[in-house]
Amino acid sequence: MSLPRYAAQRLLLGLGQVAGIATIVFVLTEVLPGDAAVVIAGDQPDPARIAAIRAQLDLDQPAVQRYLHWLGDLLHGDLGVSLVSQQPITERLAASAGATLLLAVLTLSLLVPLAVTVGMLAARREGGLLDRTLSTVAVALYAVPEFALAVLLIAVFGVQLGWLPPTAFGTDLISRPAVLVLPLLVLLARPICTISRLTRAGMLEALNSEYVRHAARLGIGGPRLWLGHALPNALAPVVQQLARTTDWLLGGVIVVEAVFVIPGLGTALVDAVATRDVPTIQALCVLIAVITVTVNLGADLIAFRLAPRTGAAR
Amino acid sequence: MNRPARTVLGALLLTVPLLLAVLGPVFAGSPNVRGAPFTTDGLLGTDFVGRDVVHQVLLGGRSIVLVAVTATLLAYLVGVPVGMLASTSRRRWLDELLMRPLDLVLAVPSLLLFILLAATAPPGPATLIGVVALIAAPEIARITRAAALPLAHGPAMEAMRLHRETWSRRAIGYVGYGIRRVLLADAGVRFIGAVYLVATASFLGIGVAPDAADWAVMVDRNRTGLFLQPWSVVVPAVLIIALAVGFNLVTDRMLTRKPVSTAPPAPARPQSASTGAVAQVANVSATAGDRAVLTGVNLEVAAGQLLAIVGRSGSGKSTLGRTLLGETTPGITWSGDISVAGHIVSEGTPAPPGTVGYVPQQPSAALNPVRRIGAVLKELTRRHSAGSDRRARRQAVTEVLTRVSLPSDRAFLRRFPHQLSGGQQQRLVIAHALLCRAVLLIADEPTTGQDAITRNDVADELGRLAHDGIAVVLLSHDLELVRSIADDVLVLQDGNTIEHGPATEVLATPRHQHTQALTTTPPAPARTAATGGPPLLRIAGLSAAHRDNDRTRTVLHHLDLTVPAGQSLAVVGRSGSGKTTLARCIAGLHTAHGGTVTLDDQPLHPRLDRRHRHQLAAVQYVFQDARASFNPYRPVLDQILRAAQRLTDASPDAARRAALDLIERVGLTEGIASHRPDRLSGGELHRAALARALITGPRLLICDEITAGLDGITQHRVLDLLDDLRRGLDVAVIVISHDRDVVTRAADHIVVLDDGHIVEQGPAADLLNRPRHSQTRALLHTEPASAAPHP
Repeated sequence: MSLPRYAAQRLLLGLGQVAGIATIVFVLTEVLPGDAAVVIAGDQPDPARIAAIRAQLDLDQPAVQRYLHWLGDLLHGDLGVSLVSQQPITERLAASAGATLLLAVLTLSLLVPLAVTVGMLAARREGGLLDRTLSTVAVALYAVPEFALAVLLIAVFGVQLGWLPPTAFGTDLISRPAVLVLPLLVLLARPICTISRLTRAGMLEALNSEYVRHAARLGIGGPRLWLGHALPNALAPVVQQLARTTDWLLGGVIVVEAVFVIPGLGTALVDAVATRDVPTIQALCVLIAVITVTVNLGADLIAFRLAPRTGAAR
Repeated sequence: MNRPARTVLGALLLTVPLLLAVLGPVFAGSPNVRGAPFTTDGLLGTDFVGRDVVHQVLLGGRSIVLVAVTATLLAYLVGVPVGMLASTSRRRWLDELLMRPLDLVLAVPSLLLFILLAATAPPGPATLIGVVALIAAPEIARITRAAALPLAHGPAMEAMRLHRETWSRRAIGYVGYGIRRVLLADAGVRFIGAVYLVATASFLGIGVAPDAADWAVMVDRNRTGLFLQPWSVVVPAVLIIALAVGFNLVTDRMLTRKPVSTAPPAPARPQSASTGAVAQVANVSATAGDRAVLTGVNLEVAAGQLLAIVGRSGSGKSTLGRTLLGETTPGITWSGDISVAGHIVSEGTPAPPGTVGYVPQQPSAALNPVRRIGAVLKELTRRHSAGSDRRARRQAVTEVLTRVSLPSDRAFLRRFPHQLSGGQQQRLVIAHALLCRAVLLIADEPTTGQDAITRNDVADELGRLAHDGIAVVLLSHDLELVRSIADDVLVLQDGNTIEHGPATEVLATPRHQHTQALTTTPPAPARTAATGGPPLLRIAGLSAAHRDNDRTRTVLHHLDLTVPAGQSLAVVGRSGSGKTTLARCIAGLHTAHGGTVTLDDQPLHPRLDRRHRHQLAAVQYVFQDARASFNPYRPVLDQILRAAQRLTDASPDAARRAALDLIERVGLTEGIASHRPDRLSGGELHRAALARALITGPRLLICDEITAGLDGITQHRVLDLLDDLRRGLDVAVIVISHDRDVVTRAADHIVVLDDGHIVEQGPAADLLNRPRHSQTRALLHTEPASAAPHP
């Protein structure tokens, strides 16, 4: 299959995924058993509030009609109005997106070079001291929940030693970069483990392969053999994992924003869930779904180019 | 840190939180009176509402561990059956129906899905368990499906279907047993994932009561007092980390690779005096453990000379090739003197880059799958003709490609290796060597698995290289090829040189018994009259198609043919001509979409599962890959017996007697057959496969390339056996092959397939002696010698 054909097929699948997720989100949040307005009102079953919720969400209309209406608005970029603040959700998201985007971009741009370098260094001497140390750290760190690590780091570096600010509360992220150090450390901890281990495994496999030996026999050696012949083969699984990492990052960002009090999309989501602000939850879920699907699409296309044979498989 | 130390550390880390989680609530006792928040009363102070932190720590582990364990179990309970059903079903729509929605769920970040689900359900442990299980189940289903898929559609499963094996033995006994390791190895990862999700969600306040005694909730709630009373946060956080890290260190199976000890560098030796030979091997011996692989081998190849090294598989050919390259093979050490192009070669110090080219048996292995072929060619030219300009380099690439009969246009250069045919890949590897001005080329089994026409091309190519002054070492058991192009022949048996000399002498008058066995083709058996009796099998208008990438490709076009009872039909054709599909249609393994197959004037249903038991018994199939066609987890004898039990009415005793009788007849013993397949050699499994097919008393036996990849001696033995059995048991045989020797030995009739059409058919003698169609001539007649322009 050629790349354009694959890309078109994959794009269609991605659109289908977004539509599917939007449907799941709608069903889970609005097509609740019983009276949705009462459920949403939750702890404050005030009749006036229930009536207001019912009016705002058009709960008197049949679910299918509401769904189509909601979908139509989504297509026009209209995300609706928050139940809590009565402000357009688009504005709230635009205000929060900056902090989250900054965290995600910084994490990814540090992650890729760091993790790939570490993986290649470990593969340089298989079973060497560096390799074993890195493997142990990677295995250990891999499963640590972000919040536990974050709290520990804050306790040590923020409170006991006082080297770094413990939270980002009330500070501007860009003018005071020191507040970003701990959040970035936390966000990097898990993905660096998986990506460096994948790079290491891929490099070792490629270096032991017949085609790298063939190239070495024909006089291609040194960095050229590593970077030009072995690394491209090692990268295909790395790119796929990177897409999965972005999923993780979204989860990690929610936690990290909560711990370090950073006003981003994660905080917005946690707040919305806590206050049962259904339109905001829906909008955030669809936004995150679009981002995830887009990232996976990009990763699949790169992986297709990197491993043309396997890319055709689903 | 090495692995045992890591496991011990992990176990230590894991003990504390696990003990606390299990025994903590027992020792916790009743809650103390509440004090002021965040004081230092008690061992660890008080928490945000003034409760004793020690008491909370003792209580807070159980929920995380319990929820994670239950959720993981529940996820397996749901995920494994779904994955098994999707993979074992032969209905595509069912697979799609089950797996597509799961893909969708997998596309959503798990924490997001968690928040969504948990936000709509009442908080509590049941919700947590349900949500975590729901998130883990799709991944488990996917892993199960991926692990089960090759088992559920492989030859062993097809063999079981041919014997109408019960569902429980197929799905649980074979597939389920086969994937157990994958699932167990994965369970640790799933549990850690569940711990992660439960802890994170609890921390975010999702799915739990706000004042629950839970380590994660403690971390969240006591955060505000971090400056006043850090223990109330740090202790539960450390416990959660210890649980995760400890568990991962203990269950870590990802590091399966053990460190390889690197051999000490060989001492430098003086350069040898240059002689006329390009490669010289003196007194080379190699051992694997305590077994000798090569013993005192000597040889010499001059420029323009073609030396063939001949021997059965396992005779040491490949090891000799590797030592010539100066490369190490894991587990093999060698000694002796080798020089290539005037340079001393020893273990780990190969000849200077570019002097030796190596064409492996699978040429695709030597080609980088992700690099366009033009880019690699360009890179090689840059390295080996320094100082030349771009145009000269492009010229060099074009010249080399033309020399090996490959196109050199832009579109071709932009291709990836997998877009080339096997023959093209082989020539491309040779082109690489030529670009580097190699003086010695080593070709490892270049014709294995190729049809006669491709074999001629390879012979041409190698002959031409030698003609151009390159020394060629050919490792092969293909005597046709050797006879046609080799100057010298060296015969290896168990690592010993048993003959070495000019090809004409060695092959024409072999002195050693083993060489005779290798070279002589046994006389063709006397043929029965080809006219034969009434047709046993009649195929009319058979059409079949393959589906790949949603496109349907017709591979058989309205075939008509018959097989008389007790006679043999050879179906020959190039690879891709449809001969295997034809065989599979007859056996019911591939569903034909048109035409009829009748056995004794009774129609056979296109689908194997709809055929009668006696019809299954009457048509048996022997797979190309004997090893893959056996269930690796059960003794071979058992599997032979099962075929009899499922398809015949014989009593268990009678079936056992018949099985033992057949096993003896194919040259095995009960002792050998009582082992699992991994203890049997390839040749033994071929025999066992024949026994398993014959025990049902078939009237028609279909043999799909059953001699491909076997060396000359084993091949003759299998063919002899087949011949004996056919005559003794009065079975009609369909032989699928592209090997001229096999066809000459085993066929009464021949059908020639090309691109899904029958281009010629008739009695074997006619087609072998007076072929009319060009394909027949090419497949059955061309002696490679006549085609090779050899000096």
